[in-house]
Amino acid sequence: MKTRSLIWTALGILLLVVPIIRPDQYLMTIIIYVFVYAILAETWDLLAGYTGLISFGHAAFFGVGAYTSALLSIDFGISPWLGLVLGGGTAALFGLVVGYPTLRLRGPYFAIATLAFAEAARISISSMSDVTGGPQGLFGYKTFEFVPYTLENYYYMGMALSVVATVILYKVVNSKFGLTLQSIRDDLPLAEMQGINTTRYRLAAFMISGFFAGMAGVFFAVFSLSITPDLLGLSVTAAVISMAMIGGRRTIWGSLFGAFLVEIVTEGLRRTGADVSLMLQGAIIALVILVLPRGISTLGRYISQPG
Amino acid sequence: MAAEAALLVDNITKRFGGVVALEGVSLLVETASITGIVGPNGSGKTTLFNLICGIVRPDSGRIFLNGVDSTGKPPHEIARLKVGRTFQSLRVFKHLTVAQNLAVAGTGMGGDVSGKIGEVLRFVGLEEKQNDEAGSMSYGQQKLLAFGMMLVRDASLILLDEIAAGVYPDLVAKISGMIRELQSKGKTFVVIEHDIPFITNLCSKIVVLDAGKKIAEGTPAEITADQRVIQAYLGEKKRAR
Repeated sequence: MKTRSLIWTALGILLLVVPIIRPDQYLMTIIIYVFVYAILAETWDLLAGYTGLISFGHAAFFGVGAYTSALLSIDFGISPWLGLVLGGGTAALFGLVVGYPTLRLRGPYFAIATLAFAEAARISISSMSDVTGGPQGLFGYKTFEFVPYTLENYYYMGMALSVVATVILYKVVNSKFGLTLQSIRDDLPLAEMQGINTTRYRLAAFMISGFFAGMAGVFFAVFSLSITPDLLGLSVTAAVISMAMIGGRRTIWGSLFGAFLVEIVTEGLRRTGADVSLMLQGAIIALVILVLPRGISTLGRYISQPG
Repeated sequence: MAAEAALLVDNITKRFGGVVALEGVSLLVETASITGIVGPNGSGKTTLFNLICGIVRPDSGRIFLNGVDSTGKPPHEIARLKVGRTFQSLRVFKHLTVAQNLAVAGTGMGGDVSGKIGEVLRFVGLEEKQNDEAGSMSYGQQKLLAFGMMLVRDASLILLDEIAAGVYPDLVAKISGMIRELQSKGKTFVVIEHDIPFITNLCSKIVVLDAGKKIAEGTPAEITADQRVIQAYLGEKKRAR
C-alpha cells in the first residue's frame, strides 16, 4: 500500500514537471491525448469491467459531448466551461436512450447494438451538414475563457480533468453502488433475486460512463479546435478498448497506464514513418492477453509473487 | 385463509411452446411451515419456483405472497416481498468476497444491514472465510453462503432448490438443523429435493408433481404410501396397464 502511494506521488510529480522541462510540442500534445483517452478507457472499464457491459459504441459518448459543446458555442455563444457540463449531460442522456432498449440484450448482441447506435449517431452527424458541418466537421467555436490557449495551460487542464475523473470513478466503483454493479456483472438474475433493480443500476452506470466520456469529448474538441464525425468512429472505440484491456480491467487506474502505453507506442511509431502502429497495437493486445490476461496493472502482483 | 398463507399458488399454468411445464397447479403454504416438493425430472418443480420468483410469467393463474398478488411482477420487486431463493445450479457472486456477497444481498432490500452480516456469518459458520472470494470456496461452503444471503435479506419465504444435493452428510444435517431453527423463528420454507429421507424428516407437508400436474399432497407418511407417487417415480404399473 505504501509503495503504491509512492508510485502515484512520483508519477504525479513527473507529470506536473513535464511542461516545465519544455519538451517538444509533439510530446506535450500526445500526453494531453493520453489524459483524454485515459478518461475514455476508465469510463469503458466502468461498463465492461465492473458492470459486465461490453460496449462497442463508446466513441459515441465522446463525440456527442464534443458536438454538443461545439454547437452550443457556435449557435448560442455558450461558454465551453458550461459546455463541459452540458456536453457530459447530453452524453449521459444519450447513454440513457441507448441503454434502455439495448440492456435487455446479452453479450455479443449488446455489443453489436451499441456499435449500431454509435454508427447511426456518426452517420447522422455526418449527413446533417446544415447543423453539424457534415463530414468537414465544426471549427471556430470558443475556447475556455480565463485560460489562455497555450499548450502548457491545456496540459494542466487535461491533467486536472483526468485526475478528477479518475478519483471520482475510483470512488464510484469502490462504493456500495459499485459493489452492486459488480454483483450484476457476476450474475444478473441472482442480483435480481436480491431485490436489486438491475436495469436501473445498469442505466445509472451507462449515464455516469457517458457523462465523463462526454466531458472528455468537450475538452478534446476545445483543445483540437476542430472536430469531425470521425470522433464517433470505431477506431476511437477500438483504441479505448485496447487501452482498457492492456491497462487491466476492473481497476480504473489501470486504464491510465494502458492509455499511456498505447498512445506513446502508436504515436512513437507513427513518427518514425512506419505505418505499422495498428498492427503493433494488435500485437500488444495479443501479448498482454496471453501473458497478463488481467492487464499490466497486475504486473506488480506477478513480480512480488512469481508463479 | 389466503391472508394467513405465506404463499398461495392458484391454478397456475405455464407452457413453453408446445410443452406444458405446469398445468392447473395450486398450492397453499402456511406461514412458518416447511413444505417439500418432489417429482421426477421435468415434472415442473423448478418452473414452479421460477414462477413464484417472477423469472417466468404464468400463462394463467395467480400467485399471492402473504396475501399480496405478485403475479407478473418483475423479480426484484418480488424479492423485496421477502422472498429468497437458492438455485439448483448453485449461484453466488463468484468474484466477490463472502462479506461482499452478503452486503449485496442486503443492498437490494434497502436499509443498513452491516450489523446483520456478522450475525449471519456466525450462523452459517463462514466467519473465517468472510474475505475469501466466493468462487474459491468449496461447493458446500458456497451453499452455506447462498443460504446466508437470504438471511441477511431477512427473507420470510425461502425457496430451496436441491440445497442438500451433492453435499456431504454432515452438512446436510447442519442445513436441516438451520432450516428447523429458522422455522421455529417464523420463517416459511418450500424445499425441492430428491433426497426422500431428507424431505420426509424435514417437511410437514409434501407435494408431488408429475409431468406438470400435482398428483398428490399430504403428510410424509401419506405420500410415501401413495400408489400414484410410486407409479410416477417407478412407472411399473403404467407399463403393465
